Amino acid sequence: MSLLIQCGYGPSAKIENAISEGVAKGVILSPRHENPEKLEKRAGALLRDNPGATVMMDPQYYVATLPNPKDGKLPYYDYYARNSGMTRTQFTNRRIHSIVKDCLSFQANLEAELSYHMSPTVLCDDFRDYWSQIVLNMASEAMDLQDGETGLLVSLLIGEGAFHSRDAVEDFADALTQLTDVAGFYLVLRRDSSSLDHSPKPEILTNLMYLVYILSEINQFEVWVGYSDWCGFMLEAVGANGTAGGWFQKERQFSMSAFQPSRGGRQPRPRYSSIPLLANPLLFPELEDIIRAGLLDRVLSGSPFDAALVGRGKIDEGAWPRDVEARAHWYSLSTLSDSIGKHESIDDRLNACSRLIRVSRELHTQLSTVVNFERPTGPEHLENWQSAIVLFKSLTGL
Amino acid sequence: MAIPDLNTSDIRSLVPNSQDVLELDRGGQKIVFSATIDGTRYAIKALRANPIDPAIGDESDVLDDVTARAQREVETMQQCDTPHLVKMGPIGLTTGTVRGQQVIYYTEEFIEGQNLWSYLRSHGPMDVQELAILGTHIAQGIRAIWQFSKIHRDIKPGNIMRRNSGEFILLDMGLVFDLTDESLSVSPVGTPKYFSPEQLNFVQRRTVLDFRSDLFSLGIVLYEMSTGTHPFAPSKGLTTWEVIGNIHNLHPPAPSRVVSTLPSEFDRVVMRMLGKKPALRYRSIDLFIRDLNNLMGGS
Repeated sequence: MSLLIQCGYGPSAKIENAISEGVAKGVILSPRHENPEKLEKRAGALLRDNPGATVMMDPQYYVATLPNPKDGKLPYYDYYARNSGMTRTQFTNRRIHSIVKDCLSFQANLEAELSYHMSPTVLCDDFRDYWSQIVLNMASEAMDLQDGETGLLVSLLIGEGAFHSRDAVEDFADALTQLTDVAGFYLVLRRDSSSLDHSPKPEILTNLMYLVYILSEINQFEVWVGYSDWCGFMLEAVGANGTAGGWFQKERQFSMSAFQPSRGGRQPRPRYSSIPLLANPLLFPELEDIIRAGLLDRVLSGSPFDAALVGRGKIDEGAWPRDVEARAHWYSLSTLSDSIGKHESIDDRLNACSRLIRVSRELHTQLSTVVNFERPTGPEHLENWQSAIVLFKSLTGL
Repeated sequence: MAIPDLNTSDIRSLVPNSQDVLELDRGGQKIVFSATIDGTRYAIKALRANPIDPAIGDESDVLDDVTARAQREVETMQQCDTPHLVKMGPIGLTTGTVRGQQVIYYTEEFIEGQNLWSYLRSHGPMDVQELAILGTHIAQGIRAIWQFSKIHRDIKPGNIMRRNSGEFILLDMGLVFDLTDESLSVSPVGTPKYFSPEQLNFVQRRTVLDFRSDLFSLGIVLYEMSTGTHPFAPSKGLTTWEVIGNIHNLHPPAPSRVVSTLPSEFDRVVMRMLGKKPALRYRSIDLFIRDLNNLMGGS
């Protein structure tokens, strides 16, 4: 099981450091944030310096259907520039062929040999609507056009709403599993909310887990789940090969609002990634309150970065810069992923997830006497996760 | 549409070099004989090529369908190269007239052995080794058909022969469906007790019909041959509609719950084949065969 870094704006040396430290196994590059030359250079350097690292790029073609998108560097990419501002009816078979061909050619022609090539996709908000057919046509076209040497991942960006109907999920899985000659899938859940929220509703998460399970465990495709962040360990438990999280919230939780004109905002407040809490408490005031109560040990993840917080009486914000926060977060996700991955069967992995969640809930309860956690810190998401595991087990008979 | 009214003399008249003609079986639309031709035993299948009952009226559609089925069967036998599909004999699709009836006939290899119905009756349920061999052989037949984007659509114990040597052969490609041929109907043909859920769905736009449908039917056969019980018709006297309802909704007990000596690995394979949706079965026939090989190695 592998944690990949979901790239975003301002990567600096975070990615290289995290991979060389062994905290992450690879990266999903973002064309929106780097022009083609820089992206190619970064991919080449990562692969050269870290043999065995997984390096791929999400083509982010789904931005092409948004009106006036905040698309950053994407217009520097031919496959996007030639085919942006697209409406539903413009996706003719010929156009789809051309988009897919351009996108795969770009990846194949990079000097750096990516670990996988990824097909372009559009947002699918309903498994039974016209857009979903475009998604399947693009996937099928990519399967036919792949060069055959580098594995192809069919990328899918699916809205939360699509996961309401289990029948529709199964029908869509029927169609996806007809794509026999692909290495696997790169799956992203488009969240309804752009606010920090570690879990969709239990039934949505259950059906997402179910789709991952069908594709990976039953049909033995590789499944990589982008923007999965804390939820990743549960998706790995049901068969995902790898998950991903970025350094800003926009790379941890996928929302279309990230590609729409900004309405302003503030810098995110610094947070600490706590494995025992399965959440990121705010440094101020949440972690500060925990330290004051002498309970810091209970929430530490055990990463080398903890040294900046331990034994200091109070938090020195300067000792917790953004890049340390990001690497400490990846350390937590990666450690969690490894702890689940050591279990052989899905049943054992899910039981391990349940235990972690139960212990975390108890800790949240105990700490509630000394700290008022804001909603994004929890523990509501833990309730959702636990319910999703129960529902998933009942659904699959595990 | 009635089967042709033929006897062994009629066959000798249609195929003059045939000897020792015996009637083997009468089905819904065809009559099957065995005969020796040039020293080798073959099956001769004959279908009516024109309607005789004026009360039935214009049967051109039915006639076309019957002819199309015979053509499909012959074409599939000619295309596919595997020891686990019945092979063509020396006479391809031929029309002839006997006692005023126009008939279509052709020959197939004659298989010495029993079909699975009679094998189950005479020997009882199979052990896991034999079940794995059965599954592997018929899967190879399904794979050979699927190479031409076709599915069999009528896999059932009566259409599987066990040679006396222990090999299994899939028969009767008359319902083979070519997914690339839009001219052929997707209407519900076959034996409903062995239908996959998607074979029963003719409404939904995105119904997937591929080799996984045949794997479902083979799953029923394996279940039945391992337990002596049909998974979706566990008791006698169920109507066709009740069985169809069960195919859609019933989750049968694992085979080892019926026959305790069956290993849990076999349960996993068969229950996966009986997944209600294609995506819950096997993505490829090779993966299915791999699991069966593991079963043979591990049991």
